[in-house]
Amino acid sequence: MSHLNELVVLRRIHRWSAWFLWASLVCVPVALYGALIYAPTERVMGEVQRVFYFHVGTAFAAFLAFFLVFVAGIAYLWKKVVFWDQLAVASVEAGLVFTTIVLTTGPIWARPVWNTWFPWGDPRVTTTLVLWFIYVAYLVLRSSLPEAERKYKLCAVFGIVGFLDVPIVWMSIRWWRTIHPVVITSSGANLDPPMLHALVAAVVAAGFLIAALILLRAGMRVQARLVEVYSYRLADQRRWGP
Amino acid sequence: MTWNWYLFAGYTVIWVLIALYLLYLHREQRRTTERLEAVEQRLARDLGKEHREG
Repeated sequence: MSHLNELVVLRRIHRWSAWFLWASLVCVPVALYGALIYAPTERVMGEVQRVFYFHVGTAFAAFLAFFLVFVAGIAYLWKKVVFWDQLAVASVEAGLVFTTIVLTTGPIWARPVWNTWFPWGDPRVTTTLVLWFIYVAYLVLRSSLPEAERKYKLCAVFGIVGFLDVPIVWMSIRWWRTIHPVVITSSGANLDPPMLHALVAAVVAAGFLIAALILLRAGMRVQARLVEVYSYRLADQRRWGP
Repeated sequence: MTWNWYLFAGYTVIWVLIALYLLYLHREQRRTTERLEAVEQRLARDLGKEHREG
């Protein structure tokens, strides 16, 4: 991609990230109202169940980010355009932040309800923890390799293979015995309508928020690459003349 | 809704983690902008030198 194309991409990224940021600024307060006030108190678990809306919302958003890593990985291997690698790594970072939220809000909810902070051995918990480690390994691998096409290729393959854990996380509560309830089934959601509305609002808000974060980070990476390209050109110019 | 410490902790964790990531993004953006400005200054200096010589 020439630097002129990168400038066009950068402008588009800035426009879209601003749009998603504004959308999330509108949707997050609506989702918070839905989760904390609009949704009724759950009869058995009580108030702590309200963690559920953003716990699930951020989990969906993390899945979306890892799906983007998968798509960007395929796009990079196909087109060999560095932008796809930058989008992938931005998605990994944001996906990891949101998976960390899932893995910390889960225990906070589990302690009063299941009387344990971390139900080791529960398939949903274990597969989510594995998902977190997969993408931490992605970042470690990335930082250990020099900037070259080989690095982008390896990371693309890693991102594609790593995504295999996402359907496993989703299906884990259907395939194995677990204490996680199956809320969303093929026949619909097992929730009261106000709870379902609050859940949808939280999923949409988290989706907009992660999209804005991914695009902001991807824009920064494109910008950093432009700086590198200009620096090399400047060094060449000094050495060999204009 | 009544006060619940676990609920408070849950929502605090969410917004603290997002705020920390935003802070990290802000610092990265500042670093990139500084590097961009340095390159621009070097470029302007070189162009000025060329202009004087040529």
